[in-house]
This record gives sequence, C-alpha cells and structure tokens, in this order.
Amino acid sequence: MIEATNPDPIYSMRKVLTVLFPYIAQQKQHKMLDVFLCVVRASGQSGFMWHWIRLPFITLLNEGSPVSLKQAAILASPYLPWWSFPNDEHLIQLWAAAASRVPYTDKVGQSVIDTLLQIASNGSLRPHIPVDMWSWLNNRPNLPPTCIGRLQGSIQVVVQAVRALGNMETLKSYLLLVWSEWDPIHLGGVRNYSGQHCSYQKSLPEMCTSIREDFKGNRMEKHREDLLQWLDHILGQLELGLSHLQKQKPNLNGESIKQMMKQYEELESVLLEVGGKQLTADTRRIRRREEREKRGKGRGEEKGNVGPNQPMLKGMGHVSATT
Amino acid sequence: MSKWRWSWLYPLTFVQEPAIKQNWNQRWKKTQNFTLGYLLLGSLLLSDIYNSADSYFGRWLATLSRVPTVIHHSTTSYFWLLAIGALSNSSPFQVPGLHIICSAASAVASATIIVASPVASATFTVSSAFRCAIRHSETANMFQSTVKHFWTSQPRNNVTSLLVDTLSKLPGMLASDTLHLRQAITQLLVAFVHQLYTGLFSVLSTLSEKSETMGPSHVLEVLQSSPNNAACQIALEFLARVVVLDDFDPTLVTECFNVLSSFVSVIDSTVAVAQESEELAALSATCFLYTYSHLSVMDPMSGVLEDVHQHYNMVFPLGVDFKGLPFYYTLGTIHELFNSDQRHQQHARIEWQDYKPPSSGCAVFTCSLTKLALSEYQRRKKVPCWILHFVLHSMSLDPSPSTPDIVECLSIIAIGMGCNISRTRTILDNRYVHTK
Repeated sequence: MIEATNPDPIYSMRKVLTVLFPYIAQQKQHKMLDVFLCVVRASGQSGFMWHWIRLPFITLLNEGSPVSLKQAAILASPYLPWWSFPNDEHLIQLWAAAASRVPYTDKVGQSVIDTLLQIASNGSLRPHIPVDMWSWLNNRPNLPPTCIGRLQGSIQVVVQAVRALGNMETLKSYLLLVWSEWDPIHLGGVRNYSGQHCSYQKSLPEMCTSIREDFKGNRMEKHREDLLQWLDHILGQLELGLSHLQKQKPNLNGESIKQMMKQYEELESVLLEVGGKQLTADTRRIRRREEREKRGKGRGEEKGNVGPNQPMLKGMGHVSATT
Repeated sequence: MSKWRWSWLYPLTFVQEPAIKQNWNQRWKKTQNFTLGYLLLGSLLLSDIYNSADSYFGRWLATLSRVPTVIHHSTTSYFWLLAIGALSNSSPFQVPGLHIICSAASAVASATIIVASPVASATFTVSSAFRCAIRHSETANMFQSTVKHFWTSQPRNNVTSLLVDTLSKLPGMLASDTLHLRQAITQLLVAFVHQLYTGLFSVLSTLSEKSETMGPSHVLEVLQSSPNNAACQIALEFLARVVVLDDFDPTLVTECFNVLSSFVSVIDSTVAVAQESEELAALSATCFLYTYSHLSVMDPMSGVLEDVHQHYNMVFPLGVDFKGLPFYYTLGTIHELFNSDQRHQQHARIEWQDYKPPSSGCAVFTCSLTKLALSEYQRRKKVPCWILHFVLHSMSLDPSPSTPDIVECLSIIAIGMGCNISRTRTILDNRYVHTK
C-alpha cells in the first residue's frame, strides 16, 4: 500500500518526477501512468508537481493533441500546484475543454472533481470555471482517502459559490463529496497567493446555514434523507476508531477524528432539526451501534454477502486506498 | 624512350603539310577511320576559324587586348600582396581574401598529397599502355623493315618503287594500327580508372583509420600550435564528434576556452562575436562545454576547473546576457554553470522555452548536460533546476526530440533519482545504469 510509505523521499524528488511526466504521457502506457500517479499521490503533499509543468501541460491539453494525452493530463491535473497559476484563465479553459472530450471513467471523474474543488478554492481562479463544469459534481465518483480537493474545496467561499448556482442536486452532490471520514471540514485560515492570511473561514456555519435555508421544507425531504444517510455512514466509520481508518490513511490522528465527529454530529443535528425529527445525537449513535451489531450477525449468517457500511447513494461508496 | 618508338606518329606529321593535305583527306575517307579523321578535321576547322577571326576582328581584338593587360597587372599586384601576407603574419598586407587563399591552399596541398600517389600510379599505367601500343604498331614495323631493306639492298636505284610500295600499304596498316590504338586507349582508360579508384580508396581507408586512432590529444596539439581558423575549426569539429574522450588532457578545456574567448568578448556589458567567426565561436563554445563537463565528472578536483572558472569570470562578468546570439543556449548553459552558486547576486537565468534541439548531429549538448547533472549530483546530491527545466522542455517538445536526446534526458532523470550512471559512459552506447 503506497499510502503507508514514507512520503518525504518522494516529495524531495518531486521535480525530477515532474520532469518524467511528459515522457510517460507520450508513451501511451496506462500502467506506467498509473504507477506514476500512485507515486505522486503517495507523496501526500498538495501541489506535488513543479510549477514549470504548466507549459508541457498546456501542450498536452491543447485542442490538437490526441485524446490519450488529454486523458493523461486530466488524470494528473489534481497534482498540479494550482495556487501558483493565479488568474490563469487559459489553462482552466483548456482543462475544462479537455475534460469534456475525454471518455468518462471513475478515475477521470475523481480527477476532474478533485481539480475542480482545488481551482474553486483559489479566489483568482474560481471566476474562470465554466458553469457547466459544476455539473461534474452530480457524477459523485468515489474520492480516494487522500484527496487534496476535498479538504480545500470545503472552505466557506466554495460553499457559497455552489449555493449561488441555485441547483439543489449539485449542492447536495457537493456536500456528499466534501463530507468524508477521511477529512474534516476546513476550519483553518487559508493563505492567498501572495502569502497573506485571509479572513478566518467559517465553512461549518456556512454549511449549517445552507441546510437550514436551502434544504428546508417537505420538497427537500428526499435530499435531507440522502444527506442524513451519508452522515450516518461517516459517523459509523469514525466510531470504528483510529486504527481502522489508519489502515487506509496513515497520517490520520486522534485529534482529527474527534474534530470530524464533532463536525458531522453538528451537521446531523441540524439536518434532523430542519426535518423536524426529535432524535438526539445520542439516540442516533445508539441506533448506529445496534445497526452495526446487526450487520455483524448478518455477516456471520450470510457468508459472501459482505456489503460495505455505506448508504445506497449514486456513485458513492467505500473507497479502497490500495493502489 | 628511343626515337623510333614515336615513328607511328610520323604519318600524322605528314598530314599537317599543306601540299599533301587534300590527298590525305581523301585517303582517310577510304580507310573509314572515323576517330582519327574527325580529330584531324576538327583541328583544321578550328585553325581556319581562328585565321578568319584574326583577319576580320584583328583591330577590335587589339583594342580589347588592352583590358586584360590592365586586369593582369592589377591581379598580379593583388596576388603579390596576398603572397606577402601569407608568408608573414606580421605583414601589413593582410588583404581580405587572404584567409580564403590560405585555406584553399592548404586544402589543395592536402588534396595533392592524397591524390599524388594514385595519380602517379595511374600515369605509369598509361605510359606503359602507350609503349605497348607503339611496340606492336604495324606501321612502325613496316617503316622499320623498309628502311632496313633500303640500306641492305645493293642496287639502291629502286627507291621510288620501294616508296610507292610502302605508301600503298600504309592506309591498311594505319587502319589496323588505329584499331589497335582504340583498344589500347579503352584498356588504359579502364586501367587508369581502376588504378585511381584503388589508390584513392587505399588513401581514404588510411585516413579513416588515422581519424579513428586520432584522439583529443591530437586536437590539443592542433590548438596549441596556434593554427589558422580553418585548422582550428577542423580540430574542433573533430572534437565535437568524438564519442569516447580517451587520453583526455585537462589542458584541452583551457585551450577550448582560449579559442572561445578569442572570438567572443564583452564590451560594456554587450557580447561581441568576431566577424565571420560565428560558426567557429559556436563550435568552440560547444567543445568547451563538452570538455569541461567531461573533466568535471572524471576529475572533479582538477585545478584546471578552478582556473577556467576564474578566467571565465574575468572575461564574462556576472550581468552579461547572451540572449540573441545564435549559440545562446550553449553560452547560457556555461554562464549558468559558473554563476549558479551566486545566490545573492542576480544573473540572467537561462530560459529554454524557445530551445529546439539540432535536427542533425549527435547529442553533444545534451550529453554535456548529462555530465554536468552527474557532477552536480556528486557535489550537492541534487540535479540543478535549470537542467531539469531543460529536460522538461525537451520531453514536452512536439515532435519529440531524437532518440539520443531522449536517452540523455532520461539519464538526467535517473541521476536525479539517485541512480548510478557510469562516469565513463559514451554518448550513445556502453550505457551502464545501476540502481543503488
């Protein structure tokens, strides 16, 4: 499992690895590209690739380049240091156009959404995102445990941007994607490109406001149910404990688990409150435990029918980090 | 050669006499000897044309003949100046065309040496063929026997009958001789071409063997003997093609730099290249980079490296920018190499966005960068960013660079990843890569 390796030596060679990327992309060998992306992902650092990659990337994304090169560029796009390309409308336009040309697969969906959320978290890049690119969120692919865009894309301004679209399906998909047992909702301050500290992000209150304002009413009951079901899944995974989660994401720690528990329980209570349900958080916790025990017994009775503890949502599921 | 051997040419001498010219022309037609007949006719025709032209345009020719005289005198004076300039470098008469003459003269001398042996051999074959043809000439034999008969016959009063008899036999014998001569000419032509080809082939083979055995030490000898530009260019061109730098003398690095600094200088922060020496300056820069990178890998502690570094900084100050020069990338690389340690002072960084690898030739430049990457990795445990940027740019080119260039780029990546690449590796082959 590459996530378990020490990422530091790989990160120290990020420039050399970046240099190798154009050659790998041109070789049209998917296995080689997969290994390369796994190594890059294993570094566990945001903005892995060197900023000099911009020009080769543009060459790969250009309209005239073959689809295979475009696909390689799309798959590698989450590892670009997007923060180092301020106001680069041309690059975003090329990326968006290439994404629409590449045949959809789960990996392509993951990469596009990861990149989209990273771009959206950058104030100078966000205005250049074509509106139709947000509809990619509705695909709701399985995001891997290490996903740069999920954490960065949960900041307040991105929540506001998605709310401003006025599409409830997209908003729900967005929340389902950024809520995860692997990452907390972004709470820390963010720095802009010039290194100045931006105002403190209030992502969680913004999400709570969104639930109260956008998901209220009987018409939204189905959406609330989906969100509750997903939160139930996340909290269930968190209750399994640190050691269970560290198998797939070794850099998780007890503090972040506690923080996530607190955040997602708060969101759950807001959803229940909007739905008019009287169940307290403790009651739901007891219910989750009972359900888990029931599933454990069921697993013993029905061998081979081992379903992951997850809600039946479109595209969403338990993601294996093994690569 | 004895005189009688040329006797078969006597009939031709008779033909030149005006009295019997017409008679002989008629005889030639009868003998159906086209080759000699047409030759004769052509020479007579040319002679007539010349005589007519001389009478009609004599005056005009006399006037026109003054122009060549003036040109002749001017040219003679100019060539004297050239000769004086060629004999002494300190001569004030260093006229513009001197270096062309010198290089042409050296080229002609070399060509003469190369061609002399096969030509001498071929000439010997030609003369042998002619001797053989004359020896078997029927006409010559007939004349010989006639003269012998004339002297040995006691009543010498039948000279007229003897002459008539001889002359009556002459056309038939001439025809036979001509046929033999044609055969001989064909044979000697074949022999001549064969001899020339064999001789030239052997000379070229020898030269090629010599060039294979030549090495950087020969180049050093040439550069140290302070030759003219042509010799210097040949030596540097050879050095740029050398795949294996065996018997490498570190002084070669200094000599290459001396050549470079003699053609490229900095005047008021502006780079100046000697006129009509751009090609040689570019070549010297390439060779300097190539030899320096080689030495930095083979002997990183060499004092020559430090000396050249200091010398470079004296000739090319930190702020100099080589942009716009046709060999910007070579000089930019050298400048980057010698100034990358200057962290507190800004220098013009090399930019690769417009770089295109040369369409032909071996990957000397990329090979030099690989060696620099290796030496820098040995020194700092990392490949400099400007070399990685070069690799990134080269790998992203459309169309892709040549295979040797790709191999060199991949070698740089391997070095950056900590692989151990053999220091004595050559440009294209004998590659040994070991992972640590």
